[in-house]
Amino acid sequence: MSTNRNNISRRDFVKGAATGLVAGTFASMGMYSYSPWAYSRLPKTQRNQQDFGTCRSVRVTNISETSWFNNAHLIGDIHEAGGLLVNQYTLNWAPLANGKGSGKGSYEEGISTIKDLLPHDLEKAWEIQKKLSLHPENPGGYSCLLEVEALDGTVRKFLLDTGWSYEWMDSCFKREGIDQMLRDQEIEALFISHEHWDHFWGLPVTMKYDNRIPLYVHDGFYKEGLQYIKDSGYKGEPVIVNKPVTQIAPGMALLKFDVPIINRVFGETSLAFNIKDKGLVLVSGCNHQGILQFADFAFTNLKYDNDKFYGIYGGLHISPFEDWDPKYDDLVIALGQWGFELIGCNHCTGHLTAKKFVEAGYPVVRGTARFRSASEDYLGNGDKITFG
Amino acid sequence: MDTPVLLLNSLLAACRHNEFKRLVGWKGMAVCPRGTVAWTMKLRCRPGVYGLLAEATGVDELSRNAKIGLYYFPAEDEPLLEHMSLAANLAATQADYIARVRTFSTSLERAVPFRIGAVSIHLLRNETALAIQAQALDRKICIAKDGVTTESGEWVIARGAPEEDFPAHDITTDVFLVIGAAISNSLASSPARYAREKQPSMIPGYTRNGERIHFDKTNTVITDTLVWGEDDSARRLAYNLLKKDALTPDQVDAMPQIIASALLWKTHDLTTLGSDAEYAYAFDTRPRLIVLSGFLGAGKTTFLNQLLEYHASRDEIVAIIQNEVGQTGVDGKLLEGDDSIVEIDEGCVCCTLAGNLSKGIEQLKTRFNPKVIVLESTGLANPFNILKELDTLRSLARLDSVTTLVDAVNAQQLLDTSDIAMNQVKAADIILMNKCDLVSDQERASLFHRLRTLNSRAHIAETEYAAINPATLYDADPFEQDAPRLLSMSASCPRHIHAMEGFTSRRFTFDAPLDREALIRTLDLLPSDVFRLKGIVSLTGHDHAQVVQYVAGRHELSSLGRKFEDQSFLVAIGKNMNLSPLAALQEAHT
Repeated sequence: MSTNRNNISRRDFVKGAATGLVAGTFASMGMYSYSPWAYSRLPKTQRNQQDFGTCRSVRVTNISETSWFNNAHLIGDIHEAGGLLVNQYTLNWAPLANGKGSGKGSYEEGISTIKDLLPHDLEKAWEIQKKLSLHPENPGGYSCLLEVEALDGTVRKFLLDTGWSYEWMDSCFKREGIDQMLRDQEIEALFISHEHWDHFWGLPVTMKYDNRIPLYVHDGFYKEGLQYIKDSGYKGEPVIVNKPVTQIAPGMALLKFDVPIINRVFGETSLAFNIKDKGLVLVSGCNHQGILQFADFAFTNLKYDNDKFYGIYGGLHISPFEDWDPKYDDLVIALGQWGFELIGCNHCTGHLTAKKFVEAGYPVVRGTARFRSASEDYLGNGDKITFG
Repeated sequence: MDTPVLLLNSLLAACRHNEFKRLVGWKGMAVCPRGTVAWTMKLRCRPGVYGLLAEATGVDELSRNAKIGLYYFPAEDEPLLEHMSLAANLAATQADYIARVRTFSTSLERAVPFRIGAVSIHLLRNETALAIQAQALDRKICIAKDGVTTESGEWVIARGAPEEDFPAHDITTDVFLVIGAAISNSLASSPARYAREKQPSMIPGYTRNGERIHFDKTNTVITDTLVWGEDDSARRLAYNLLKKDALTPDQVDAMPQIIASALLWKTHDLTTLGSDAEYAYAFDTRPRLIVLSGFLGAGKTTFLNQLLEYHASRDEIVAIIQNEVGQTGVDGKLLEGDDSIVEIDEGCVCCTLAGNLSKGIEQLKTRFNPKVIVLESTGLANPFNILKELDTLRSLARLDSVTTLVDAVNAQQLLDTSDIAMNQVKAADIILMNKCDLVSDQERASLFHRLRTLNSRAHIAETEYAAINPATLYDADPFEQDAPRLLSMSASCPRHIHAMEGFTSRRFTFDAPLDREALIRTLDLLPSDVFRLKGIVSLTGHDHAQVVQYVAGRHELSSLGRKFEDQSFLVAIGKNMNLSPLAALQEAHT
């Protein structure tokens, strides 16, 4: 027996423990740091699973996922205006441009050039703005139609986002018959995922056909955004989403994420559906909160069938957290971990990323690459996907 | 909003500034899935990973608050472990240690030994003042009264010696200062109050039966408090937390040195900070320049596409300067966002650099502010020729590395016959051994050995389909680049230009769509002295144009994903090529 001198390194000692050799030793002498006292402060993981009902299926129609047509022009404009932190309302893009050039825009001046034309004469408004804005041919937009089938077979319709370019979005709405649905007031609500130009600035196109549709926006909207809702001709009172979970219909909930987003936007709302006997479906605009946050929040806060993640649709933006371990591919691994059975991605998900999903053996639903969508690797404009 | 999220968001917002990231040595952050709300985070100052765990939230009359537990998981070989508990060592020796760190909040029992302190955040109800407090033991100590021995009687921990004894407060302070700097940056104001408090605390110990005992030795709990906000509100919030007045920023002399000299007093105004020579390193806005070299068909375009997408998904632009031997810049058509490509006309980059390149880079910077510029030298270029020129570009771009792609299938043969191929390997800082799926383990090992012999300093990665996360190759921070100065590399090597090696290129065009079978028959007939053939052709019965890729006897057709508006073409490159089969095909389709 040696004297009181440490003569073996802890590391070597516990390496033995890893193989079970000294596990007995630990047990016999009380692992000090394993004492009950050490655990007294631990928070307990609690899933607080809110029951938001079930629905039979949800069908997503991709009205448009091509937010803009030339990435270099977009990033070039943002750079010229001063970078990713610049207020989006100063970028001088249609429909809120004032003709003074990059970074010198102002909401008031921009809207004043077209305000009296909204929402009844969008063609003229867009023509005016084309002359004042940078790269007027670049805008597209993001928007999708959600048809939620209840357990009794009735179908309820909702819109997620309303795109950007008046011209492009109006043609997309007409292509998918959204204009008529809005006219007939068949669509129950419009959710704006976040305040960015490509999801929100096309609002007058929805207003043109239905200016009283219930409208949901994140409580991080800026005053310009709230003013634009009025100036677009909205006759209702927007619902300012300020709770983490808002139930919309049986099996359908709106989730709120508080996350800072580029070009001075704050917060994103996404949707979750509980499909009977299948599980949870997540639908997002851009997913700026990151798939990990989104999935994790749903896992902790929602009750869904089979405790299973079933499907996902929308843009899968790279996580805002920037991983500390580059060998870890956040998106790819996260999707694998959650075990989705049906993946419909597009918009800000690059098609190499979509290819990576396919290579990883994930069930990615391919598209048809029509109407200016760039790749068949994901769900393009005019493509549909049904969960359930 | 959740109070813990406030803290997170200020970090996220501050990290929008690359300068901020460099100043604080930011290495990234990740969400812990499926457990209690938690994040992991890495900073350059320490090799391990920090864990932040939301432990409690509360509201009192004056403010909303949240407590966040701080954890530090050392790197597997960090000497600090020898001063941490056996439980910590046990966790760190598990094969899945780092994977578990990523999800530490799902099994907190394992994480407990790594807890080093806590940070709390306090927001005045009217949101006019915000405070953060860090609390940690000066040293985290726990005594093993009876010691620990192995079964054979060797002492692991002597009787009465500490089972753990490490500087918890120092480790806590490193992350606390980064959080503070982030809050200053997000609020665009520096702290209005600071205080440090010390309280004695008993050192705990245990007997071998797990009974807790106290020693007469005492330890110190250190609490640092920082408050931001309007003066009156900040004073009120500070007083509420401390029950006494805190220091104002002008009382620097009364502050601990590490606090007084911290960045958090300055990060509210990065513009001013940028004019301070001491911090100039963080404000280097030059784009990184990667010289991409590699023999024809090694997979450069595939690799480039990945690089483009990696940066595009981060809202960053990659600019590519490329040119091809031959009259058509094929890759310009294959790469996405092809207007990010500036082709230098006159032949090969390596031969006609002078003047042109800096003009190209100037243009790119003005138009796009790219984060990365890739200079894709043609597969036939000798990178040593480029390196000499690059020195003149220093004011415009930061040379990151020479990255060379090697085709594992035909590399051995090429290295036997081509000095240029040899030089591409020798000049590289990063070598991607691509197409490893097409060779045997033995061939792979022998090629690896040969590359290592030719170039002892390069980082060599083995890939299939050139698939690799660019972040593993290019550290975002130039100060961690340990690549030796390239320009000191031997420039006295004999330099070949491709004309000397007898390479020629020839372009074929087709007015009518081709028959797929006829095309494949033609490709099968090509002699082995055709190194590389690329092009875009329309085929009968196919809506989309096909991209044709041919390297040393293997061909691949893949859809372009759209119609091709220009004339179909194929470009062949090689030595003394007999191209009669292609000529015949062209003849038949004009």
